[in-house]
Amino acid sequence: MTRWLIVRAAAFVLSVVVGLSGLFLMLHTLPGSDTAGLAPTVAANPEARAAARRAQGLDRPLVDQYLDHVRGLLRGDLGVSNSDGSPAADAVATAAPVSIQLGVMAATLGLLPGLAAGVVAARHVHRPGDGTIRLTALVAVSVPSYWLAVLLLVQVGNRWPGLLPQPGGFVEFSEDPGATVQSLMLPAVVLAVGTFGVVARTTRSALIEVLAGDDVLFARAMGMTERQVLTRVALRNAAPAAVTVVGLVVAGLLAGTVLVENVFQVPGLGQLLVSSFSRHDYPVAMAAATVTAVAYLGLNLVVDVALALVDPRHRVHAARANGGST
Amino acid sequence: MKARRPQGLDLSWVRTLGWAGILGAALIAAFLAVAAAGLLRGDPLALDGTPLTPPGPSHPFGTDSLGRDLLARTGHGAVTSAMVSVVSVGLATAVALPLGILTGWFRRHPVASVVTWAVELVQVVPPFIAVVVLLGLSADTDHQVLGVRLTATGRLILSLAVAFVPFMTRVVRSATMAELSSEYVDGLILLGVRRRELLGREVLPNLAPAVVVQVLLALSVAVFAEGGLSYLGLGVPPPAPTLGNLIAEAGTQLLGDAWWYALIPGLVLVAGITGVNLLADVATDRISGQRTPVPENSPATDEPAS
Repeated sequence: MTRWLIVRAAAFVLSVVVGLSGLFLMLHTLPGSDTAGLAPTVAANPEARAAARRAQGLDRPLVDQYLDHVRGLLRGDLGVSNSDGSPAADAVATAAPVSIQLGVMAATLGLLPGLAAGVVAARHVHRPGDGTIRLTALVAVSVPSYWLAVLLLVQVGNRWPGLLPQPGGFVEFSEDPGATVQSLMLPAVVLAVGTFGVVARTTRSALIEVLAGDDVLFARAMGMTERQVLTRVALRNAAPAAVTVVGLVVAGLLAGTVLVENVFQVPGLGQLLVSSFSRHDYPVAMAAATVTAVAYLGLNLVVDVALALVDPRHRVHAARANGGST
Repeated sequence: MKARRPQGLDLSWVRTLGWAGILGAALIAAFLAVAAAGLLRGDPLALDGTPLTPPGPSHPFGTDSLGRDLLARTGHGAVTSAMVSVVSVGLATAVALPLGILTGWFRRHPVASVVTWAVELVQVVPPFIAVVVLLGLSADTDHQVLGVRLTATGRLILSLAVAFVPFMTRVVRSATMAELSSEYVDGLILLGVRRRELLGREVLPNLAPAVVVQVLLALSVAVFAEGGLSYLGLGVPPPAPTLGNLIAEAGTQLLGDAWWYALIPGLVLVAGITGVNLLADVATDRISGQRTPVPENSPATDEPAS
């Protein structure tokens, strides 16, 4: 176990390094990205452009810039906004809790119904109940969150404006939990639809596989009731699928929050990412992307470790699957 | 006496597809029908109607806030969305197919290991975020790449393709490895069949089902992503219609009474995505009965589709 943990942690560190270096390289090698933030008069004049680049330290060798970048990250310095000079870390720190709250609410709303639907479908395979749930779950993963969000925004928002997140006047959770939950309800419901679909589909297929296995056959032969078979044998054996589910749910929520936050004007990380890009505020945008990527990897790590603690087989399985990307 | 099926009405394909397959095909047909009708309808940019006319005989899908015909816009938008998705997934598959087969075939070769490693490592960044960053950084200006001018649409296609390559490579590679480890391959090698022949005649055709499923899933993700990126202003620039742009226009103008504005283009989008997903599901079910195993870890299936 200790050895597995060390390998897994090393894989995590490696993926973080790769992810962050990838973002750094994108920022510094894509054509146009370093001049787009400048005023047109400056960008058009080679001398002024060179001066601006020098002022930002962009004329130094890439390796030096990279080392500086890494040193900054280790100190918790995510760079400085190039529109108002405030630390990017501050902008991220204000936005992140909002996104986390939204993500947690959506996961809570989608997870349990999804699990329940998956279990019911798996127990009624190829019967009408299964068909209905399959189709519902498929439609749930197929409906784009941004469309659902726009529909709700237009229809519900017009009738009950109190349910909408208030632009600019977002209430902190610590100040008034009720108001926050209320204003995040619509975006959370939209995101929960996709979560429900993914969870139901994965649970169903994992459980069907397990229910066809020898363990279940044996448990039934020993006289266990169907309920016991399900809770003691089948669901436990299906646990490894949880890693897949969490990976999918988190990836889905990450993409979903970027879109849904922008529709509802929720001041979270996703909106920060997109709005900083449209302002050409690359340091802030990259800080938001960095934090998002690290959170994604971190969540996968947590689930992986939790499962390994519960289920020893998972260690072997995960080690074979090459650790880094589960 | 055997009951004879009525002549000229062979319904065996119904059973092969199943209800899910028929529904999927019907939805895709509906998507294509709207696309065709919209193309025939005429100029999606012409300001030839009263703004915000509800659907009716003169404008079957209604008009938008500028009086443009929404059937024409939705149809042209569907074509653009489908084109962007098909081209980007096609490009990704064209790169991933040789890459995956070669790394699966020469898996002990150092170069293959390096490629495999790179593929695994690139996947650590959530793909949608990576595409947003790629497009965000290269936005606004047209670039010359290898002498070709890359427009916003070109950048969108290229970014989506880049994001799909690691995933597709991984799928092809594990399918190749699974195929090569099956007994008949050993048998044919013992019989003295040359490896090149083996690869082309036996292994390659057997990869097709697994790859087709993943291509379908990638297509549905691409249609979703194109819409989302266009919504964020990172995709095909307006006034050109795409399904994402239409939904974005409806969303930013907050027209509570114009229910058709966001609803109809969105329904077309949902029909396309659901149809492709249904076909992928049917194909997955078909394969799981056969020998060719679905590669382990493949289900990044529904990935960013939420």
